Amino acid sequence: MQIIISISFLLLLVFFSQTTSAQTLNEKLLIENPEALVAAAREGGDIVRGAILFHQGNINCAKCHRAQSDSVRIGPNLGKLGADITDTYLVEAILEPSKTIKKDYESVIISTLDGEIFTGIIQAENEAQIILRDPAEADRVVKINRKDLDEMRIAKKSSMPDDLIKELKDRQQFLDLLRYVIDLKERGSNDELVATATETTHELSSELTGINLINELNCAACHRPQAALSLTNPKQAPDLNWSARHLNPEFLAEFIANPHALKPGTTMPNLFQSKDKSRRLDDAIAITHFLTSRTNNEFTPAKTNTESIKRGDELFHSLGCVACHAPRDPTAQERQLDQSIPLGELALKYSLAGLVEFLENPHAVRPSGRMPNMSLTNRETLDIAAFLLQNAPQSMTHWKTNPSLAKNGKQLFMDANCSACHQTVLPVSESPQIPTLADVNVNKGCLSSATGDWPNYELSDSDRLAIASSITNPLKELSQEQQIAVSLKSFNCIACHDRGELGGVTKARNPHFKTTNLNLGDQGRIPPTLSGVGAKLNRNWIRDVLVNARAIRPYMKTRMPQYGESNIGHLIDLFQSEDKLPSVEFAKIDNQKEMRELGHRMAGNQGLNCVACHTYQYKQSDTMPAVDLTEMTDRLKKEWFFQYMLAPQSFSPNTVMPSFWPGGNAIRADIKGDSQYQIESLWQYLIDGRQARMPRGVVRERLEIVVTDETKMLRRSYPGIGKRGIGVGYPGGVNLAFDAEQMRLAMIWKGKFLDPGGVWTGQGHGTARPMERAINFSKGPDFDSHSLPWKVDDTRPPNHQFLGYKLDETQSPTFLYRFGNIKVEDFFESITTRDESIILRRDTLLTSPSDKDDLSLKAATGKQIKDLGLGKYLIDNQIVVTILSGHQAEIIEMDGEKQLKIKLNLIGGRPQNTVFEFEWK
Amino acid sequence: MFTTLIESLITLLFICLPQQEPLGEYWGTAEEEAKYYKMVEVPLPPELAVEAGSFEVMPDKKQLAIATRRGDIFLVDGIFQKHPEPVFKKYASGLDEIFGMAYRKGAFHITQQTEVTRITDTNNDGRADQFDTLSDRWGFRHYHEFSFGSKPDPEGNIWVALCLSESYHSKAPFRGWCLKITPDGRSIPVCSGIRSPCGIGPNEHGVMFYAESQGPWNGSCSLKVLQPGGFMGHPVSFNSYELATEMGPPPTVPNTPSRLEVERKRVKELVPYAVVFPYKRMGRSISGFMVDRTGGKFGPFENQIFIGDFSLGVVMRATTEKINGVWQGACYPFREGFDTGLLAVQFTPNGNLIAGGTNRGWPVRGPKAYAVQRLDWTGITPFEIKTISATVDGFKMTFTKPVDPKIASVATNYQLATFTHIYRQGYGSPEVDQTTPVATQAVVSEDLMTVNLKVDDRVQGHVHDFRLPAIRSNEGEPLVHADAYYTLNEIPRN
Repeated sequence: MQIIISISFLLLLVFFSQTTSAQTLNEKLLIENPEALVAAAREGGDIVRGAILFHQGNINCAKCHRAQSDSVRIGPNLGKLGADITDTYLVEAILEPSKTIKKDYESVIISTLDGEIFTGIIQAENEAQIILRDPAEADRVVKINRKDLDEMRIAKKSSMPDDLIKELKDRQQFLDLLRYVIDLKERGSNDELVATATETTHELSSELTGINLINELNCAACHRPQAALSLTNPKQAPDLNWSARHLNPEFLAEFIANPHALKPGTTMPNLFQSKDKSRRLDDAIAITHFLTSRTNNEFTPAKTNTESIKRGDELFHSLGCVACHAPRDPTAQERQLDQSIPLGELALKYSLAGLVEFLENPHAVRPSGRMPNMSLTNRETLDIAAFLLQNAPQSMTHWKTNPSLAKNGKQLFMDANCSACHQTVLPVSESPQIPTLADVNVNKGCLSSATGDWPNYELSDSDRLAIASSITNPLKELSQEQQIAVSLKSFNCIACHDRGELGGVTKARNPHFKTTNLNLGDQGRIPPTLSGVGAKLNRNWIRDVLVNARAIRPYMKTRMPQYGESNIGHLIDLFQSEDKLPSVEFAKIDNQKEMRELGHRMAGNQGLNCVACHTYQYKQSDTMPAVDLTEMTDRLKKEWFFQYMLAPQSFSPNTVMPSFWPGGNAIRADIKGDSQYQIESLWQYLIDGRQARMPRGVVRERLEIVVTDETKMLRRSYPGIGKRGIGVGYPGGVNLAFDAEQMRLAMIWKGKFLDPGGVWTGQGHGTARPMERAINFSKGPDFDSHSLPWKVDDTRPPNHQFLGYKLDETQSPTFLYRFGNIKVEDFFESITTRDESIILRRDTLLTSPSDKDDLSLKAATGKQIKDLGLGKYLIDNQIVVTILSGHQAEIIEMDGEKQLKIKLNLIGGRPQNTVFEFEWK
Repeated sequence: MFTTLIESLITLLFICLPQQEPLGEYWGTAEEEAKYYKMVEVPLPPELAVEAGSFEVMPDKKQLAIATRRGDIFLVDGIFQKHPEPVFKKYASGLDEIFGMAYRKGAFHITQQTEVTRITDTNNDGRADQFDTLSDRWGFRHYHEFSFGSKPDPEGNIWVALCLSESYHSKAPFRGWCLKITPDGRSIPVCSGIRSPCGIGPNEHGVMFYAESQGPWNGSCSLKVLQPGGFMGHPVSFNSYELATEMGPPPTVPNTPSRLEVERKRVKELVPYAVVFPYKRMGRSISGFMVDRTGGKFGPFENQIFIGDFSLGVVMRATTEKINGVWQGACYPFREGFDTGLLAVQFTPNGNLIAGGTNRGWPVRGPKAYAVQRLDWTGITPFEIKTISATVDGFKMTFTKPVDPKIASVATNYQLATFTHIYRQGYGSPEVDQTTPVATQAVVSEDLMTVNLKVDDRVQGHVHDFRLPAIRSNEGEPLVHADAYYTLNEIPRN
C-alpha cells in the first residue's frame, strides 16, 4: 500500500514537474505518445499552415529537405523516405533528430594535421580527397586532402538542430508541420515535376558564336552585311564627341595606340598594328588632338571622399554591376573572375562628372545598350563613380589641343576609316575597296593571325574559326529561339537569367546576388528564369519590365537593367511567339460572384493563407515580401498561373511556394470544389487587381503618436466627438481631446497618447483612438448660460464659434473661442506633484465687453459626483476635481447624469480666470 | 468579436460597391516622354510619411512648403536644386488632411477638413505658434467630406470646394458647395452641385475652376468652372439653398437619366462641364492642377493647365476657352509613370513641376505609399498637339513644332469621333451616342505650326476625340501623343 502511494506521489511529482511553464515545447511534446500526436495531426493539423512553416522563418525545413539533385546531400528528401518509415518515426525524428540518423546523412567531424576541424556531410570522396558540405551553409563545400587528414569520426549528433521546435509557437504549429510532413511522405517525391537544375552554359552553340562575334565586333560596319547577320543590333562604337569632351585625352591616345594593353578584351581593334610602337603613339596622339579640337575637354582627375567610396563599394557589389564586371576589393582593385566584361583603368579614363553622366544615361554615349541603364539616382552614380575612381591621379598636365596635330589627326582618322564604327564624328564614307562580308577571304586580313594593314581584334583561334564558319557556311535564317539566344548573349542577359541550357548565374558570381529577405531562399536573390517567360508573362508586362524597369521583387538587390526599347524591343514579340504552354481546361464559371467570394476567402488566413507570405496592395506580410497578389493577373497568363499553382517547383526549383494541389489533389478538401474550381476561383478573385478586396490576415501597420518632451496634437475624428476633435498629449502622460465644434473638454486619459491608425490608414474612415481607457464627459459646450443652456444635440451650438489656438514654448495649445461676445482662452497643462502623481490643470480666461451674470463653466460630468469639501469633488470614484480659483460649484442633475458647474459672473472689460484640476484617484 | 464585426461591415461595404473595373492601360509612351521630361526623384527622409496634399513655393524661392494628409506642414530646402537633396523641417503638425495651402503676408493660409486656417510663426523660431480659424462655416460629419481650397484669388479670397457626404448625400451644411472665404473670414456661397472635388484653382485665364471626379451625375472626370450662382450638376446639395438665401431658390431638379446637353436647357443654372477627361484613357480621378507660368522654362506649353491623376499617376494638360459665354476646352496626355497617386502639382521657381501624393485609400497604379517627384524639361521640344480650339466651321490645332505640310494638309489624316455620357443619378456612365464627324479640309499655316481643320457633323455637347497617328513633324517624327479630347459645349457663331 505504501509503495503504491509513493509511486503515485512520484508520478504526481513527475507530472507536475513536466507541466511547469519552464518546460519547453519540445519537452512537452516528447512526453506525449507519438501515436497520439500523429492522430492529433491527422485530425487537427492544418496542412496549409504546415506547408508555410516548412518553408519559412528560422525553422525553414525546406532549406535542407528540398528537392535537389542526388549529388547534393544535406537532409533526406522527404518524398523518398521509403516504405519502412512510419508516421511515429517522423515525430521522433523531428523531436529528437540525433536518436536515429538516416544513413548517408550522418555528420562527420574531421580534424586535420594543421589542427583545423570541419564538420559536415560527406558529399563525395576518393583516394585523394574528401568533400564535405556544411548544412548551415548549403552552398559551401570544403575539400580536404587525405594527406592532411588527422582523424575522422562520425558525429553522434545529427546535423539537424535539436532545438528546431523552439521556433514553433505552440503544439498546434507542431501538428500543422507534422501534418504537412506526413503528406509529403505519403505523396512521394514529385521528382518528375521538379525541373532539375541542368548544367547550363554561357556559350552559344558554335554556329551562333560566329554570328554573335560578328555583331559584337561590328564587322558589318566595314563589310556590308548579309541579311541573316543583321538580325540583332550590332554593337556600335561609343560616341567620340562625348569621349573627347569628358575623357582623359592622354588615356584616349594611349588607348588608341594600344587598346588591348589598356583594356584586355575590348572590342576596339588595334588599327595601327603594322606601324612601330612610337609611330603608333604619335598617330594616336594626333587623332586625339583632332577629337579634342572639336570640343572643350572637361577632364579633371576625380576627387573622392571615403564615405562616398564606401557606399559606392556596397552599391557596386549589390546592384548587379558584378553580374557582368569583375568584383573589386575595397581599394577598387579588380579581383580576377572569368567572363567579366573588361573596364580598363577607369580612374585614368574618367572624371567624376564624366562617369556620373555616363552612368546616368549610358545609352547617350553607347547607344547599342550593351552597357545598360541601371536606373541609378544621382547620389548612387556619385557613390559608384567615387568607388571606381578612388585611385585617380592627384593632378595632370592640362591638355592643350594643337591645331596642326589635329589637322594631321583628322587625316589619320579618315585613313583608318574610324568613321565606319564611330559614326558621329565625320560623315560616313563608302569604302568600296572593302569586300562584303560574304566575299571575305577568311584566311586573310582580320581573320588571319598575320600582321598587316588591317584592324587587329586579338581574336583567339576559336573566335576566328567561329567567324569564318559563319561566313563560309551562313545560316539562311535564324530560328526564333536562335534569335533569342543571340540577343541574350549580346546583352549578357544570361549573366543573371537562364533560358533552357543557356546562361544563369555562375557559381563564381552567385555570392554577389543578394537579398533583403533571407526567408525567400534563393528565389529571393537569384533573378527568375527566362525559360518559357513568354508563356508566363503578358506582353504588356514584359514590355514594362524590359522598357520601363518595372520591378516586383523588392527583396532582390540586383536591379533589372534597362537596355533601351530600340535595342531589345524585338525580344518582347519573340518571347511571345516562341513560348507556349500546353492548353489547360479551366473550370466552368457558373457563378462568378460566388467564385470570387471563395477566392477571396482562400487568399486569407482562413483559407490557403496566401497573405502569410504574399504582399497585398503594397502591404507586406510579416514573413516575407513575396510577389504582390494584386499584380498577379496583370502580370501572368492564366494558363501559366494554373499550371504553376499545381506544381510551383516544376517552374522554379528554388521557390518556397508550397503546392496546395499536389498531384492535382486539393490539400484543403474542405474548401468547395476540385483543384480546377479552386484555382479558377482564386483567379477570379485576383482579376480585380489593385482593387481586389483585402483578404483576412493582412498585417496592418501599427501606428502610435508618442509624446516625449513636447506636447503633441492631432485634429481628427475621436470616439464620441464629431469630426472636429483635437487630441492633445502632454509630456508626463496626461492627454485630452477637445471638441472644437461644441467647445468642450470631451475626454481625458492618463498614460500613452494616441493610435491614429483609424484616420491615417485607408481612406481614414475611422477615429483617432486614445491608447488607454479614457474618462468621457457629456456633450454640450462647457461655458454657457447657467439657467438657459443650449439644448444639446449632435449639431453645433448656435452662439459658440471656434477661433483657433496658440501654442506656448512647450507646444501646448490655448484654445480660443467665443460665446456670444465673450472671449474664451482655454489653457490646459500637466503638472507633476511632489509625490509623482500627475494632474491636469485647466485655466479658463474669460473676457466680456460688458457685465454678464448667470453663466457657468461645466467642470466635469458623471453618474455620481461627491462633494468632498474645500472645493474638492469626486467624480464616479475615478477622478477628483479641485477648484483653485475660489469659485463656488454646484452639482446639478441633468438628463439622468450629474454635472459639476462653476457659477460665474463677469464684470465688463475685466478678464477673469477660472482654475481647477483633475487628479486621478 | 468586435474586429470581426467591423471586418464583416467593411466586407459588406465593399460588396455594395459597384463592380470593379480594371485600372486602365498605360499609354505606353513613358520612354518617349522621358526624352523631353525627365522624372527626378526627390528622396524623402525614411522617418517621415510625406503624403503630400498641397505645395507652396516660399517667398525666398528656395524653400518648398509641403502640406500632408497626415496634417504636417514641412519647410523643405534643397528640393529645387538639380539633384534634390531635400532637408525637411517641420513647421506645423496635428492638422487634418491639408488640401490647399498658400503663403501670403507672412502667414500660411491652409484648407483642412475642418476649416480654413491662417497659421503664423509669431516668434520667428521656424515653427508655427498661432492658428486662427478663418472659416469653419461648413458642416463636417463624415470622413469622406473632403475640403479642397484654392490659393487666394487676386482679392485674397480662398475658394473652397466641399465634397458631398458620400457620393449620394449632403448630410451637413454646404456639402456639395463652393464657398468663397474672404480675407476677413466671411464665407460667401458660390455655387452648388459639386460631387467629389480633388483640386481647385484658376484656369489659364484666371477664372476659378475645380476638378470633379466620376460618379453620380458625372459620367467621367471633368474640369468645371465655379460659376457664381451656378449649379455643378449633382442636385443632392440643393438642401443648403435655405442657408444661402442670397443665391435665390434652388434650381429645377434635373431629370435622370438624361443628357447634360438636354438638361442645361431645362435647368438654367446648370453649368456644362468645361473639359471632360474620358474615363481611364485620361485618368480616373483627376486631382490638383496648376497653370504653367514659367515663361517657357517648362517647354512649349506656357499658360496651359497641368493636372495630375490620383488613380493612374499621370499628369495631363488642358486648355480652356470661352465660347458664346460658356467655358470649354481640351485635354491632352502628357507624362505617365509617377510612383504614387498624385494629389497636387506645383511649378518651381526654376520652371520644373513638382508632383506628389499618396496611394492610400483607393486603388492606385503607382507602387509607392507616397512620393514626391519632379519633372524637369530636358530642353528638347517634343512634337505634340499644343492646343485645340473650336472655330466656326471646325477646329484650329496648333503644334509644338512645324508639321510636315504634305501629310498635315490631308484631311483624312485627322480621325475624329465623338461621344457623350449619360447624365444620371447612377454611378458614372458608359460613353454613348457615338458619331463620326469628317474632316473635309486641312489648311496648314505658312509657319507650319497651325492647322485649320474644316469638320462636317460636329455634335454640340459631345466630347470630340482626335486621333492623329499619321501626322509627322517636318523632321519626320510622329507625335509623342497622337490623341486629344475637345469638349464642344458651344459652337462659335460668326
